[in-house]
Amino acid sequence: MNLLRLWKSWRATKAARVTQERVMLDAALCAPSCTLAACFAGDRATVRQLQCTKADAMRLRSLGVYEGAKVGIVDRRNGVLLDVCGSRLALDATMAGAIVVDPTPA
Amino acid sequence: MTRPTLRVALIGNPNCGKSTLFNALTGRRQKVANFPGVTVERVEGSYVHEGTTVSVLDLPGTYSLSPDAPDEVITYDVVHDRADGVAPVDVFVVVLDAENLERNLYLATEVLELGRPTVVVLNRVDRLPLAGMKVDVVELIHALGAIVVPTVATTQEGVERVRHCIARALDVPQSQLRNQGAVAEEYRAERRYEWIAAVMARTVTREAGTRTRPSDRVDAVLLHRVWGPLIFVAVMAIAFQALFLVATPLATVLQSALGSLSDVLRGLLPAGDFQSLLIDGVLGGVGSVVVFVPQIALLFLFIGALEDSGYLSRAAFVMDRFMRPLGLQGKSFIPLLSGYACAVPAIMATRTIPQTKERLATIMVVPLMSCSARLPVYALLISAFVPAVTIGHVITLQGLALLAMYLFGTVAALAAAAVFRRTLLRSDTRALIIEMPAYAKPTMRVLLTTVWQRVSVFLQRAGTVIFAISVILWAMGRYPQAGTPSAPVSEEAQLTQSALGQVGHAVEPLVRPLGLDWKIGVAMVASFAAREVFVSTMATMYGVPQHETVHTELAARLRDARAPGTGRPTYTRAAAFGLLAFYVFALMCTSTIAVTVRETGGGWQGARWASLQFSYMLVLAWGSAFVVYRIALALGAG
Repeated sequence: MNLLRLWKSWRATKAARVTQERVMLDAALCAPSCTLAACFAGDRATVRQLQCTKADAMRLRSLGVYEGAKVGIVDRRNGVLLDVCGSRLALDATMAGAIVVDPTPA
Repeated sequence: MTRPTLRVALIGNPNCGKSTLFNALTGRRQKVANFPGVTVERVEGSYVHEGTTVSVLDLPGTYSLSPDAPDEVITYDVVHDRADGVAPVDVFVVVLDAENLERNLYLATEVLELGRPTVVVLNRVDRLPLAGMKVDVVELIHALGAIVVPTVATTQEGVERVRHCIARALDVPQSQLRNQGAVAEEYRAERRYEWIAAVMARTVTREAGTRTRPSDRVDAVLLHRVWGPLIFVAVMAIAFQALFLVATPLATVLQSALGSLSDVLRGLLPAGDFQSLLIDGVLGGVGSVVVFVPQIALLFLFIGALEDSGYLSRAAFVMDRFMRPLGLQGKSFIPLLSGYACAVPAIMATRTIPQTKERLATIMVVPLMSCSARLPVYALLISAFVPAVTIGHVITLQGLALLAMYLFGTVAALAAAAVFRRTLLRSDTRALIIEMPAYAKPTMRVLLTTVWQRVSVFLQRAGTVIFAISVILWAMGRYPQAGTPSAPVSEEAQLTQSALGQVGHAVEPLVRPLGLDWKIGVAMVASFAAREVFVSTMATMYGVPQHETVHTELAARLRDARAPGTGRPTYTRAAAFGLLAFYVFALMCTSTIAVTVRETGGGWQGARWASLQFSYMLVLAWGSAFVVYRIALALGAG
């Protein structure tokens, strides 16, 4: 009896953990926004907000990274390499962490 | 009859081929100066078209017309007719990179909205088929309401048409583009890009599946966290090896040609002041200028090739993470590395750094990197005072001492940069946002034009100063004369009596605490012409003939020199170590000072930066020499 109770309790705990992981994963995948630093290579994303200094934001906008712009993540092993309007733009990790986007996983 | 000058300004994004178009339009009729009060370069040229002189101003590359960085402020001021010393512009030429049309149109719309006569140049149209793009130029003309000329500036294709359109620009109606951006700032870019997207849809057709560039695979390696910096260091090592292999023999050829000319003049002219002025003063001065030309030409050929191929932006990105803690940026790496060869071309190479404060900080610390002219001084003092003991069968103590000199210089340069960027040249470190241009094959004609521009700027601006200082130092060593034509004195006695010798005596109180005497003082002052002059001056002072074994003989003389009266060694090992430390840090080079003055804005502004550079390095050098001397004495090296 005790063994059965233990087994049931283990099943319940595991199910709860799986459910919790699924919820977290769903939350991550369906998250309305994250930063560019959290995106993966091959993703496309829509820029939502530029959380950086005014000068940097103006520079980003003139380079095609504006609120509403659709960008592609080409590589993200060393900072982020973006496809913006067909040209390539490299950002360091700090800058990538300051750009809030809506990702569209590849 | 020549009509009044038509003033044209070229505007465009960095890497759009603007400067290539400028060179194609103006040829070699160019003038390089600085905009008043800033270190931003002002490049102007001119050409004559149908009897009208057209003056062209090549504005610094910019992504928008916002007054953000100093370069962009200049462009902003010029387009609004309020730049100091720049006459109002009649026609703007906006250069667009056809391959990156969408992003380049952002700046174009900003310029067109000004309602001024504008010609739009669609450059690099030859690359469109490779990118799988087609641009409907007629539709683009309708959309922008301005003249659009397709060109390939590298091959001069369409350049004549650009000249023709510039001449007609005042007669055609101006663009009606208005108020694309008359909304809140964060929506302004969105509105502008929405409009651009609509224009792109009407004018550009793309082949399917061309979004991924083949260069992305190359970038995956070149921008890699580990491979990227390693590849860059390897590229630089190979390039510098090649630079040494080619530049050194070229400089030797130039100097031996001047030497032969000196010999001819020596045979033709009677010995005396006039002969010495021509040979030692004038030809010596010319020699001290031309010796830099091969290095400058090759370094700029190399930097130009890196820039035009698109690799420089990648290198700047991968090196940025190493330079950022010091307050410098990725592009500071090349000037710092060039400093090992010579500070003169290295300081000129800082022109690739767009941010003023980062550039100034790099200029201020470049002379701390041990240049090749310090090597003869290191070699002399190390061979004289460091024992040739082998450590672990691998390296000698002398080799280790030489390595230490280079390390001290490098560490001091990096530390000084960090101090400058945290004090006098403090600014918010800009986030790293770098456009990676498409890879391209550099064009030799374009590269050679850049090299020619750099060499002529050096000859005109720094070369004249270096030449003048060389002649002044010659005169200081020759006058007042100790002997008479009938009773000449030895070279040593002449140098002692000369103004240079007297300055040496005057600085003795400064070098005495370092355990040195007035003879070193004379050699130090004379080595202002070039550090390696220290060896030849010391050789003259000790009566060692100038031939191949001068180093060995002089080293022995310095070791054996005894102070009159006491019989104790004139130069102790501790004093020699101190002197080595002095030469690691001191700015004993008039050529570097001259180039710093010119590159930091010229005039009083440049002189201020150069004096600061000279003073802090002198204080650092004297202080280090004193500390090293005292520690060495305490350790029993007296």
